[in-house]
Amino acid sequence: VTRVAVILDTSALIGYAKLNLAVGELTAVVAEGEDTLVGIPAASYLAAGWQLDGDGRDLLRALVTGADRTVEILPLLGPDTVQAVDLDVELKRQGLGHAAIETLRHSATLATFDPDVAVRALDEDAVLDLGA
Amino acid sequence: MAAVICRRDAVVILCEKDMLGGVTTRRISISVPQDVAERLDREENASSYIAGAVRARMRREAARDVLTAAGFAITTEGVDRMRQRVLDLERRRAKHSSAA
Repeated sequence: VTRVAVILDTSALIGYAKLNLAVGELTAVVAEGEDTLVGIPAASYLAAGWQLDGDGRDLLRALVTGADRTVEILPLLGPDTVQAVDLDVELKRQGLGHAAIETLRHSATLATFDPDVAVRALDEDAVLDLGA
Repeated sequence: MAAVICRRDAVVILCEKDMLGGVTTRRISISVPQDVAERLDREENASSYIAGAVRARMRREAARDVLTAAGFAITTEGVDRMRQRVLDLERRRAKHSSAA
């Protein structure tokens, strides 16, 4: 049985594509757990894809295909879609709404470079500041 | 089909292929240190235990390969620090949820 331990939001995915070391270390931490996964919300992946160039998107693609036993894209379910977009608009961050929903669903840790924004939707204990 | 592969640091003997629960399996004979053998003796299904351990290692290696190919210079110290940060958050959440 595997559990989603960490969620990467749009800012974390962009950080990964820009080779921010904290995101790489976090991925390695999850990979070392026997039953833990990194969850990538589909909406966050889409939002990051729009903000990255081809090389950045290639790195994200390699992450979700090459490390597929560690990293998994989490689908945006129909009933969550309205809430996800409402949260995105309220927080003014594309993809953060879906990331917050998945963080709550899996009782996971949200990894983000926007902790001040994320704590408007989540408890502080659920937010890992990648910029710290 | 049978085959024998000998290496200096290990002995691997391929005996036969089989199916188990829809998954192709292969019976092999391996040599392990005494302490490992004693641990396996306590397992009801040693094959499953070993397969799980090897898969966990394959998972770690695949992730590290992806990170290395991307250009990350991951260090043990950095991973240890990040693990501690994640564990601290999980402990704080558990403490709050048990108090609630």
